[in-house]
Amino acid sequence: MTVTDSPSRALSPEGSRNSEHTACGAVITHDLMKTFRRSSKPAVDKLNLFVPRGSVYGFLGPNGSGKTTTIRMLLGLVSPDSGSVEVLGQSVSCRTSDTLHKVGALIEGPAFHPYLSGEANLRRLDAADTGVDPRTSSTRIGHALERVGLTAAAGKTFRTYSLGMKQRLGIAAALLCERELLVLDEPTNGLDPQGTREVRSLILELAAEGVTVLLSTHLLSEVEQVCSHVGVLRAGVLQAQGPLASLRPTPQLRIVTIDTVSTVAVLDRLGIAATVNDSGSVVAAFSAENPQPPDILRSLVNEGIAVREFRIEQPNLEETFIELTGEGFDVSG
Amino acid sequence: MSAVSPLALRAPGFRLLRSELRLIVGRRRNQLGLAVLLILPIIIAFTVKATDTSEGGDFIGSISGNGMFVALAALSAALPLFLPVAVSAVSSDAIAGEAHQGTLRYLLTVPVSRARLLAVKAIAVAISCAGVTFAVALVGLVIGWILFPIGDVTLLSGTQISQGEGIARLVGVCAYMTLCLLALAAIGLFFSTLTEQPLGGSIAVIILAIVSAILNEIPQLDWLHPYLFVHHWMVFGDFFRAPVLWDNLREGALVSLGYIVVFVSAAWAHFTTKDITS
Amino acid sequence: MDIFTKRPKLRWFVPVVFASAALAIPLASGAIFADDDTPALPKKTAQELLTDMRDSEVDGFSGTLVKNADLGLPSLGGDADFAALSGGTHTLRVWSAGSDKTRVALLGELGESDWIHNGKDAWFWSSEDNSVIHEKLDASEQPAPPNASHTPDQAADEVLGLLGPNTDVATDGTTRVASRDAYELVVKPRTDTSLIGEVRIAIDAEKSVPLSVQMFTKTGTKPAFEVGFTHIDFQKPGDEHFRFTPPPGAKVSEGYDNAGDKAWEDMINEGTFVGENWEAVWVGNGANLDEEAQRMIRALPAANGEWGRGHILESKLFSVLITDDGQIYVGAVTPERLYEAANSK
Repeated sequence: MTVTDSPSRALSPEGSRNSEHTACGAVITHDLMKTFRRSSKPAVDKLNLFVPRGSVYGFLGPNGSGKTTTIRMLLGLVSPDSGSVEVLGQSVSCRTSDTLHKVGALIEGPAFHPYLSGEANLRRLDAADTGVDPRTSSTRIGHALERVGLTAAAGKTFRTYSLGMKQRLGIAAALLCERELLVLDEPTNGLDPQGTREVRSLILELAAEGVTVLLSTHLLSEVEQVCSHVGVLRAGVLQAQGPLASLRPTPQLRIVTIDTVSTVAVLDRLGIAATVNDSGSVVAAFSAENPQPPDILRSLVNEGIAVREFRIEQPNLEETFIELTGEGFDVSG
Repeated sequence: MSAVSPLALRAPGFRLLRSELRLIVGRRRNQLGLAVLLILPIIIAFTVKATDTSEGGDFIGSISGNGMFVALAALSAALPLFLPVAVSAVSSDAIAGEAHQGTLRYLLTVPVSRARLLAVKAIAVAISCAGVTFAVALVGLVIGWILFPIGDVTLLSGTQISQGEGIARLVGVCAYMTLCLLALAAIGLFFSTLTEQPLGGSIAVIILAIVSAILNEIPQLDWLHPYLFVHHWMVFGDFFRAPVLWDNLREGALVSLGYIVVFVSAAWAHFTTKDITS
Repeated sequence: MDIFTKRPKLRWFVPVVFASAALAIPLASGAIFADDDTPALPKKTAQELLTDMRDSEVDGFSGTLVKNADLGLPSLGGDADFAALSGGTHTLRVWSAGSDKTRVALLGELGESDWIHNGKDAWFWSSEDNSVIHEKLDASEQPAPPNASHTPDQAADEVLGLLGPNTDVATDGTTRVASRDAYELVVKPRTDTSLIGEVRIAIDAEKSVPLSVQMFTKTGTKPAFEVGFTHIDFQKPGDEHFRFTPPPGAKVSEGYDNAGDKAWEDMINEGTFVGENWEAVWVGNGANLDEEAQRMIRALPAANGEWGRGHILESKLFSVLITDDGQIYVGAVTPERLYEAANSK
């Protein structure tokens, strides 16, 4: 199912699933700083990003939090004031962009020449690439269009595309040749539910092939569905970073009963520190090491406690992120 | 794609250049501008034919003697405004057009090195400048030869040369004009790296051309005149003197080269270091 | 290139260096007048220079010269017209191969007027009018181009004709004109009534011919009139430069149709001179001037004195007084000198 005639593949046969690479990051930044002229606050402040190889990294943050600026610095479009960027093991600056050949990108929405057809736009981008074999150009373009489901509309001018089709063409451009890293900025923006599903499954498909994906988004559901790792940015500062599971808050045990004192005592015996909250429920943080819920319930019943309600609550990830980003998902100054 | 294209054009450098030229030629606005420019020699030829003029400056008077002068009359009519407008539009579109459309960030992440992209853009603009100048001359030549005699060419000095030598001198005129326009194009290219608004850059170039044309008319500023690019434009007529008067042409060529070197290097210095936020 | 990678902003150094170089290299076409080189040449007295100049013999030459008149008068006419030579800046090409072969081309923007004298024929060609005027000449006849003082040579002749007791002649070091070494001769009228402050003549060190003539007023620091070569070649030009056949389609007329010019010519010839050398005033009768000339005169500032009433034209290098009774006084002198001449009439 993968393209096999791309020279880049031949040059780097090891692929990113190789064990020695999984240890190092596909994207690593050290104390990345950027302050734009005419602005007093840094757009990106001492950012230490670590995107492990083979991961699908969700880059979360409200609009204006510095996600795009970071992505532009990763791709050599904007030069950092200080700090360093390493992409696929090589340092990136505005001058050296060899590694970018292995990086496909969708930055701040798709942008193409409106009077050229979708295919002609891709051909133009392919013509600009000195690292590919022109003879395979048509094959690769055809394949990329097929992957995003644009084969039928390939000959239409970009101007006539719907927002979703434009977005798909942007993803097709990122897939023009074999990539090791995909940087996708809001890839499902403007897509209908069906398109959104398709793109998400495409991302998972690519990830399964071993491609590292850096997915910038503001949609939590997207992160929950496709990401293995997550980083949260707020006003240019990285708030949290790591595997998605590590950021997920611990589930909560909630018991509604009249006999709160006994309940707390029983739980304490089971090694669970519980408290009584304002509404009179017994609550406790619940982790995997704790006894299983049926065992807890049995102990309570054995003590003769009338349990009116017993539930393990999976707290909303959104609340965690609102906490991390402070003001929620409004535009931050 | 096409199996017939020469192998050399498949080389990586040429692929982007070819794509660039196709983009310039394919733009409706450019096609319209070119059409307007190419109608100019036709209008001149038919007007002279209808009024049977045999005198008048700017080569108009010479047309009835030899159709080749339609090309020169058209070029001299287009040089002060039409050609600069065309050149400013194409040159300021080079980088700013891509920035405006957002395609610049995608080209650069392909990746294309910025210096290479600038070089390809500059070459494409240069080819456009030459193309438009030679196209006006060619259409003038063809329509002139259809409507007026072909034969010996009377120079501004009143002496005559063969038709063949006349063509050679016309080619010289076109080459010189192209060089003059390239000076303007270099400025346009530089402006193009400064802004994301191609129209703004284009207007700035035209204003610059108009201002220097005005300054060139103020005798008190004669010390400044040799440094103005427009000052040297109209000396292309020196190709049609007996013998060719090279002094002013050489000076004009040097001044144009100076502008080209300064502004292309400035475009390079700025474009290769700027933050692309478009 | 490495430094440009480490310190990208240093790239601006490149265009700045190019720009400074471009500005520093003098590109001015009129660079001859600004040429302040002073080549080391064997010392010569003014008298030696004058003698050399008189004895100089040049087979022929060709060159380009620039003429600049800043007389404080409005410029009239197109730039490829010989009549326009009275004011503004003009470029001419000159070829000369002996006394019977001369070609002068006045260059205009996309136009040219040529005057060609070749043996018994004189041609005058105007590209703008697409016209040719042909004159048959007697063997002895020495025709003059349509407007006098075209070459530094002729201008110098006229200036040297004014040398007299009230003149200082001195050398003033050396200079470079048209990329050639030259001596500089300074001629200074010793009179209060002349408008001319001094005349500087650059004389070619090798060939002893004038390369440029600059006339300064008493106050001005820039020449009010100057003519000088920007390029000169002392090789005798080939015959092809003097051959002329009217191109097909041109209007050809035999002889000048100069009824208008004739009236002027007669008037000038009938005039007389009052005073000598620098103070000379030409006096003529302008009663027959046409209506247009009369109207222009009436537009001039009025003047009056013992001599009566009239109008005065003042320029940097000459003054003209036209009295109401039709007398015209012209001289390179102050108006006071003209009034004096009018009084003495």
